[in-house]
Amino acid sequence: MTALFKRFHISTGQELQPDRQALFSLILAFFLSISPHVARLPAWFAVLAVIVFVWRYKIISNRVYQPGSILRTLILFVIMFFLYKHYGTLLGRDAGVAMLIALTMLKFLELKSLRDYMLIVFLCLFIVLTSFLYSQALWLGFYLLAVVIILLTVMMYLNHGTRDDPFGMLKRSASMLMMGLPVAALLFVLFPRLQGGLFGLPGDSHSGLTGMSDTMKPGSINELNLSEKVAFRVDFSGDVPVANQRYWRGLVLEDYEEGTWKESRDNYGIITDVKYSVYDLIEYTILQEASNQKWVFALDIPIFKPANLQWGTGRTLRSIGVLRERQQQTIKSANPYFFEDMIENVLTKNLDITSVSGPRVAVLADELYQQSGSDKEYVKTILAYFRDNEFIYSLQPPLLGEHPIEDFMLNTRKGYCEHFASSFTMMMRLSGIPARVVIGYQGGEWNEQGDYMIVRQSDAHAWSEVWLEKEGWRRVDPTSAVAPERIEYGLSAVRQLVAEGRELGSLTDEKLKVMLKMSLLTQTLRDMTMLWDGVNTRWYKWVIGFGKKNQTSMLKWLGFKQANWTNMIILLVVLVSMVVSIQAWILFHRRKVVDPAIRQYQKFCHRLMRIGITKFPYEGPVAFAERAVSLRPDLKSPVVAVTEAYIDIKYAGNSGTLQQQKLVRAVSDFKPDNKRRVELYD
Amino acid sequence: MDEQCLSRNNLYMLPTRHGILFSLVLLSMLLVAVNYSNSLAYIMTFILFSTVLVSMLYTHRNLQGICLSYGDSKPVFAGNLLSYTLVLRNQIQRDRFDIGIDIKGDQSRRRDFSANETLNIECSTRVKNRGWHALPPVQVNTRFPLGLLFSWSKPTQLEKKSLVYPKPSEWQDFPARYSGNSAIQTQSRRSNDDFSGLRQYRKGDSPQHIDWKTYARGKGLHSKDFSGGELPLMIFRWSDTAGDKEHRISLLTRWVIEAGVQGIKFGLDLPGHEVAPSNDDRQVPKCLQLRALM
Repeated sequence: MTALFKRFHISTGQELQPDRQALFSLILAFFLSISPHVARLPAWFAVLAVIVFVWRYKIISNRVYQPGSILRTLILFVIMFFLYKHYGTLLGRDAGVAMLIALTMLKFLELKSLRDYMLIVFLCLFIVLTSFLYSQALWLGFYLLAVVIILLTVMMYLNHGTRDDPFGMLKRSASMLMMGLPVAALLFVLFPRLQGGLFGLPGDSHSGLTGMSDTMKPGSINELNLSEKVAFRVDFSGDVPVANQRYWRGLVLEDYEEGTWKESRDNYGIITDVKYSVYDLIEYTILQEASNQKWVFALDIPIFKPANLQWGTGRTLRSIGVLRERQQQTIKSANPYFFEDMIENVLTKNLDITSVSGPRVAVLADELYQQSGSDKEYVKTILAYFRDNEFIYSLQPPLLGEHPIEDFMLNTRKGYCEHFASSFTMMMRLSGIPARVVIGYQGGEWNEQGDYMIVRQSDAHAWSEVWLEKEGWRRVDPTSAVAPERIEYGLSAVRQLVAEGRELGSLTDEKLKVMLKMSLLTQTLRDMTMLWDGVNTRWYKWVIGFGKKNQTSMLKWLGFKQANWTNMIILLVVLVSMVVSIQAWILFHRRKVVDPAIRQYQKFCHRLMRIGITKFPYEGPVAFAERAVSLRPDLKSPVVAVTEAYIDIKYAGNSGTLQQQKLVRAVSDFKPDNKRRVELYD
Repeated sequence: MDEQCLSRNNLYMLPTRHGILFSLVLLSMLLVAVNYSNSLAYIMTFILFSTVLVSMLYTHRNLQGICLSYGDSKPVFAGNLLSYTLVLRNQIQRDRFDIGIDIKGDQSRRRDFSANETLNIECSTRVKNRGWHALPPVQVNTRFPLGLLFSWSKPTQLEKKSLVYPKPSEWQDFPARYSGNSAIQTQSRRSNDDFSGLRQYRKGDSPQHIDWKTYARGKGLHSKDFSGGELPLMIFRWSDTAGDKEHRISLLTRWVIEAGVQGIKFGLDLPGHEVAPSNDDRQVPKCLQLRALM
């Protein structure tokens, strides 16, 4: 490039030699850039960093040997060897990022010219970008935006001749970046996106996550430890169903073997017959966290699903691929509903009692069925049996023995949703009523700050579905018979009541509300967390989740018939040039704010010019006054008065109103005689 | 053109090599964003791109509205250093950062100056020939703000000339017809005996009379005043000299200087030009200029 300039006789000036301060700021910027990666890097990177930066320090302080290209290549190969040993590959995201960071560190050893410094800044920018492949959280976005501003400032510092005022440079680079935001926003919205990646989404772009288990074994663990992590968030487009109607179905478990409920592989994707009223349809959008599983949790019963989901067992929803990242689905459900499977052997499967063990439980089922006249009555009888026989909802139930169902029904009588759902379902089957277990989530917390619902891992729940003649599959939640608080107020309320020693199901609604009322501090804290959650959710919805689909619908909304990329590029070019023109106009035509003192002084100069004394651009006020007086000694006192007043304001720093007035008076008093022009010798 | 004011008509811009490298970095960032369908990677790429767009405006703005001109320079004798001032005037009140100034035949400089400031660049060059010396062409440039873009002005020859007096020859006596004058003979050249004090510098004083020591102390320009007794009137004629033209001019120059130093009332009588005898301040420069342009 420089050669090209030289060829056209254009001087490029000389490139600057970076100073020590540039080096330190670059090292700082480097560490800021890699900070989100640090925890992921192999531990020996710390050793490498120490070696590199101590070496660098020695180079600048004692002029120790700066490694030549052979040694650097050697070091590079050693690093590559260790990286390969650590990652098993040198390609892909993780190894690639580590490699990039290692290369950048090595570059610090060979720093010489401005070009090397600039290259490190560019590499740092790239490292910043790779952080987003691991997390796209809002705070990370802001942190790295600040890092980008710092890197731009370093760039500015490196290229600036005088190098004073680094703080001003920081301000300038921030304001430049801010000015760039409108164009960046346009590009973000209108730059044509591809569905999926360029070479297909790389396999390593997601790491291990855990969601809900696909089996259920009541009594196998004696402590339910559910986290407050968010499972999904829901935006309702109409009314929000009340708490005891918010059953998010995940999996339907039909196989019971050796105390474990499992999903039946045979009935997967069987078509169901559904009847509902259009007036009962609820539309909602689920924003589901990455779970590394396929389950999608819909309110019972989902009627319409998006094309990228498929039907699982018993009208549950499945994503086609594993949910490796947050995903958004819009679903319509209806309640009340009628639905049943189109194949008869589903019912047969749901009558299977072969692995129910224990002699006494079958007898109990028989007895209770005798008491109730019909299947429907029998459901009520069992629920009443739970309520009236001191069954206790407990999060730390005793372990169940060899015959779990019998053990729970007749001995321990302590358990949480899984125990109740499992036993209830089996009691149904024992009396010849098809029944199955459904697992998913129940309830959810409303976020007033963002008008959406948060469903957490702790809302995980299990309940039953019973098939009744002419009514199809009906949801029955045996837990609600024992602990209605769990259904109405969620698990945290249960925990609180248990901690206070209250008996579940014993309190009236009013009393409960009073008891569960949060203190002001808790309330404020909760509001704040909710606000933060709301901001993050919008961030995901409008920024991170923005893709081809949003682009298409936006362009349609703007009136484009086709959302093809030529249209988008044209729109983009037009809008970007409009914005840049406006910005240019603002930058170049900003009204000149002239210092009133300067204006007064210019008036004075103009009057002198009229009598033939012109101020040269290189002349200072004092020199000019001296010259003017030497040419027109008769004007000495007014010229001196104006000049002194002006200097007082501009250079002595006395810019008060008094001084200003003095200058104005001095200038207005200055009226040289036009007729006596000074004849200049030339 | 006396003054060149920089506007989009005479400013150019191209990326520097860092700029080209940076565009490659941006491209690979875009590839990563597309490949991973990563919204924040897209955003970062676009923000950097648009910042470079904005920096383009900043680069142009940094030069736009600077007016280049040369200040008046004092005449010098051929063979001496001609010092002159390049003036960068802020036509539009705006802070200027890292302006590179390239004057042909001089080293390049980089300066900042603020909105209310006028930047004076002091330069000097050795001049060989008498007559009008055209000051060298000037180009200003900048890499502000990020060093990714380089903008420069069309190098322009500013119409400013500086006068170079002929080189004075070795001392030779005044024309023989005045040699009998006792007043002159007693006055040896530049004798300090005749130094009668300092006075304010007046335009047209010989630079050799300036008391540089006082000037260096920051007390302004002063000229040494020499006094003499009753002095005769001298007319230097072309025919008083012999040899080739340049030598004759040199000799006349020397005489004019000497006469000026001694405060002699003198005049010139040259083919085509005549200067009436006088011993005022303007006489010496007037005569020197005449000689310079002969």
